Amino acid sequence: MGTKGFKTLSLFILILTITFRAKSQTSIPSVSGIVKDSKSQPVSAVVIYLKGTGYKTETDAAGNFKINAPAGKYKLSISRLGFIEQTQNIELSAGNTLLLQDIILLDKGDMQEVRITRKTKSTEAKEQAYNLNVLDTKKLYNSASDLNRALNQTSGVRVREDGGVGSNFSFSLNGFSGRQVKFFLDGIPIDNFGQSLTLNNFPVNMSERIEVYKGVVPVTLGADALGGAVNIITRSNPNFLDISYGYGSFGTQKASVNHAYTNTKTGFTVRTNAFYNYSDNDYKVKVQPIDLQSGQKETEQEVNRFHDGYQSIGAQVEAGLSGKSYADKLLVGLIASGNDKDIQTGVTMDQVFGARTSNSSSLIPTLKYKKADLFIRGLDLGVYGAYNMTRNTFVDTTRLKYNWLGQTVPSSTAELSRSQLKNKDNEALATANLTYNLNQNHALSLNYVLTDFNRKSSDVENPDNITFLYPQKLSKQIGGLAWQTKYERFTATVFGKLYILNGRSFEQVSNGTGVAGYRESSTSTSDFGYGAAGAYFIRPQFQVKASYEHTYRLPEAVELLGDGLYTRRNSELKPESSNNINLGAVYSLNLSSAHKFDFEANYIFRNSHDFIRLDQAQTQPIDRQYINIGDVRTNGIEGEIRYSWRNNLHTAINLSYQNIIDKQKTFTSTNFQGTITSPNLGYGYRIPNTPYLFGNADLGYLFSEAGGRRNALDITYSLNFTQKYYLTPNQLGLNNKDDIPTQFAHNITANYTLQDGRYNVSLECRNFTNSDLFDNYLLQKPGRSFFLKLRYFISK
Amino acid sequence: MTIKNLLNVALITGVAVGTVSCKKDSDNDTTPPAGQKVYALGIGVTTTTATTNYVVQTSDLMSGTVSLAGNGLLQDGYRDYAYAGSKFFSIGGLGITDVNTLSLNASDKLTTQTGLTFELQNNELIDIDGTGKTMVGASLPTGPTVGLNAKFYTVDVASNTVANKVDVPMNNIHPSSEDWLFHTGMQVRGNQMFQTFYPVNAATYETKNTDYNYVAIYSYPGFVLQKVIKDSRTGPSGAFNTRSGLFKTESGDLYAVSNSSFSNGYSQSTKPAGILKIASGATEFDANYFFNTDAAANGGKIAHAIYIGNGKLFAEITTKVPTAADRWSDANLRLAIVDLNAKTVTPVTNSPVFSGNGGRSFAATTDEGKVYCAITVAGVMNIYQTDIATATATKGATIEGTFLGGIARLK
Repeated sequence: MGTKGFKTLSLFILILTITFRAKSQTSIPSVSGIVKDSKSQPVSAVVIYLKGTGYKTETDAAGNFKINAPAGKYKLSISRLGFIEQTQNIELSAGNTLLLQDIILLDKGDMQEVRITRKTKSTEAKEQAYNLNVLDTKKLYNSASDLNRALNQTSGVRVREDGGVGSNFSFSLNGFSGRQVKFFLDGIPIDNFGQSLTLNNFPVNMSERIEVYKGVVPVTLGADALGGAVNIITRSNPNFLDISYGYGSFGTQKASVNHAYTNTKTGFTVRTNAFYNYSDNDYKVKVQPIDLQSGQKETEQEVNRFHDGYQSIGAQVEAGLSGKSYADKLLVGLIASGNDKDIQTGVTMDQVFGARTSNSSSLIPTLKYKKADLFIRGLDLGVYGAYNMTRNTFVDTTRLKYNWLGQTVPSSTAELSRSQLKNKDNEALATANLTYNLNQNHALSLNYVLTDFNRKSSDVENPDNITFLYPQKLSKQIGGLAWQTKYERFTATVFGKLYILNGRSFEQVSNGTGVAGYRESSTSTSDFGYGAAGAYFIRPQFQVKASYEHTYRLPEAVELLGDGLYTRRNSELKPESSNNINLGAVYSLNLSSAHKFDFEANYIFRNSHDFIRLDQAQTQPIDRQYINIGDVRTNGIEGEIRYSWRNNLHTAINLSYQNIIDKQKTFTSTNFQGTITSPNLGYGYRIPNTPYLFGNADLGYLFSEAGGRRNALDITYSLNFTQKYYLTPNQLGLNNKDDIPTQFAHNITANYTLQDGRYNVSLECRNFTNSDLFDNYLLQKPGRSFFLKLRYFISK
Repeated sequence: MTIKNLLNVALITGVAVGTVSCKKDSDNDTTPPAGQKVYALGIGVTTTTATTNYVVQTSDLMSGTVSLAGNGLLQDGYRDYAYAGSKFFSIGGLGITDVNTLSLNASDKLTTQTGLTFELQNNELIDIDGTGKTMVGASLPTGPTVGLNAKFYTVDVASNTVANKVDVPMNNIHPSSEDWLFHTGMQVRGNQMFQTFYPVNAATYETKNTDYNYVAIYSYPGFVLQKVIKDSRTGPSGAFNTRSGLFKTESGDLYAVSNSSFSNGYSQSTKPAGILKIASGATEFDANYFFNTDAAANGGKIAHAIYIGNGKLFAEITTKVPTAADRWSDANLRLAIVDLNAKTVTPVTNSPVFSGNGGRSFAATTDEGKVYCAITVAGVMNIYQTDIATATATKGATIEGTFLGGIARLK
């Protein structure tokens, strides 16, 4: 850890110290809040009292109230002449202020009940000590977004897509990507769940919210996540039905059905999330077609993509019991999904295909069990098991070569390389989480995750491939122990994680003859990571946060042991490691009750070592090694400002800047002859091919009671911005033409809801200026597109 | 006016200002004074995640530093280089086999001509007779899943276009149930083309059959396979991704050079390293000529070489007998001059012992009695100038980069 790291840690410790001092100055507990009417106007002179006591007050002109009372359990009454009285059970504890938010008092003319909402789940998650984005997907249910696009709107995140619907993508979080960021569905690792169960297939309607943990990941998400983790939380309403269907440009269709039924008497529960995506992706691109006879590149022209169709379908069904004495939740489920994908381009637009395809299918039985107060009060257990069976197939068997004009010439074997590759992935997953609440303020939790992955590949077109004959297996066990403390204004956690890896593969035995031998090889490693996080409300509307983690990304079996042909074992290989620090502040400001501002700022520091990469200095086709190369230091700032006026006007802007610098001074390549050290010409420069400045903005207005008392119209404009960056090191060469230019994507959405959200119609126009957009080098994304979505929603 | 258009204008303006205005980039001005030599260097830089390539020009190979900082033309992807008629060809790219044809403009600055592509990854592109008018290219599939035909073609240098595209079934060149073949060299002599290759298992890269040297003979320019000759005195010519298998002298004699060296990727070595001759006018190996380079004084295995005239090769030759454990290392090399007629190996004085570029072509060029190549010692790459007459090397300019992929004198 550098001096900066120490400074940050010192600051963190200082905050902890202050906090504990604050705690020792015990004051009389209190309850406070703001009372508003259904139009979000503050209500004054509302009588607030604790039933059966003399503690009583009235709201002021701004709707504020506060009552001081001794610790204990009370029934809080809220009443005013002409309004419906409301009561609420509260508990006051020593030294704490209970803050009740969004108390909405309805007048007696309204038949609906008074609503006192506690903090929403999203706000609760957001107020954890971790640095995380909480994306409240409920707000996006009427939009055409998949989870990728939704996440791309948040700070620190860039989802880089190769093209349209279903295209390959790379999720980058503060510059970390690939296996350095781990994905979860309700806390279950989904990294190996196959091509059809990825963020670009999941509709927003299946999730309640998405949590993006930056750099510091709680033990409950047990994973070797170097740069953070994304957890998708599915919807929890006990009884609801949400059906949607959308149709848009490029033949795109998206449908989703989300449903839950719970019988309150028997506790029987069924939950379903299903989706279907289809697109021709036949949008226009600017290319230089190659004349297949002469091999000459022709002048640039606009053509339609012609082999980029995509469809995916999936369903998650769970059934079981809830609210039983032996189980709060016991659910047996099945995830079934599949996709078909045409492959239009290679790494650049120059490489065009007309017949290559891939497809996948996944079948995943699941089991969920949850019980609070197991055996003794305060002991909560959650267990999850799944068995993932995924098949991925890749096909290139057409004896033709295509160009962008759809013309062909015969080829002797395939478009590029003849293949019918089948990967059979089987993976056992088990997670267990045990939490013991020592008392109201302290809890201990123990988490265990086991993943046992093995892949068997075959290709009838290339049966002699040695790597198919000798499969790899990898099992990872991650144990975590955390202590959590929570007071009204302060929350903190300290945790340790143990990473255990067992890998098995095969290695070539060189014997100086024409035919090599093979022997089995295996390895085991263990590493220990740790971290801490704390957050403190300096004022009820002002929270500061700090978190730190020393974390690892464990090698894959092939990285560690080789595959018997293309890569060779590297017994010296260390896991990727990183020291991650986050500092942040969140401030909410209510200027009168109509104007509401939220400010959030985060500083991130990452000091990462030993990235695992294939040795670029070894140029032979086989027998290469994965080595630890790449020290990277990241200093980043993320900021977000949100403003709303009443419930009508809402606007937000966020900006992320991440200065990701190559700190690898020299390259060391070791072969049989010894070690060669050479200088790294990238040392001290920004890592290429990584966006470093990007942001999003939106502005919307809600016309309430538009065309009916229970109808509303919302119009929102949004903007995505990415600053120019380079594919290759920009300090080398003059006037390099490999820049990915600064991009602005402008989008507009109109959304009309009827009968308080039962029926919804939305029309979206993305990239309405028809700008050229790219995510990866020269791979063009769609121009202007339209999408119409219809949605029906009922809930009990 | 959309943002897109504004951006385009800004971009074009930026590029135009950058390339046209000499004042703008005077810091990096590489325009040589009139009458001075100009060399083009293809330099590879290995970064943590990939290798990037640049072509830079310099007039001084013997002093100072050739730097890529704000200098050089970026070449996409992996690149190989060829030279003909004052043009430097940068062949490779991302996804397709693209050709950037580089030449000097009126003010002696490198300019790029684009448009030419090859259907398959190019193995070698040679100037057939040194006149710089016509080149012959070979593209062989790396295995039976990639293609079943070797592709030969000619490139007209003046028009930068491909002609005479001919497919020859790989199985006709080397009929074998267990081996594929990899190209290692070619020469055009009169109305025939000669090609060397080595048999290799395309799936495992093992070399189970190393008892013969092979030369395939085709008609030229029709590229009709006429015959394949073989000889058991030495193993196959060349090695993985090298083009040091076959050389042609001024008189039309051809020499096939074999190393079957573990260091260059062979999994076995069953014959001594050596050189065979196909005499001018003949299409069979010369039964009376064999140069065993293993047994020669100062000898070894010739890993990489270029022809430097007067029956001589400029070579990188092993200093130790490679073993199975040295596979792919391309290590323990030094510079030598090989006299094909006298059958001698003369070590180059002042040559360090070094490792080669492995599976990359040998970048070297002959200019006025000197040979220029690059050697990396202890992580630092330098130009080495070798005087052919005295076989003495002089260390020259430092090159900031990881390896030299190509070198040619353009002026």
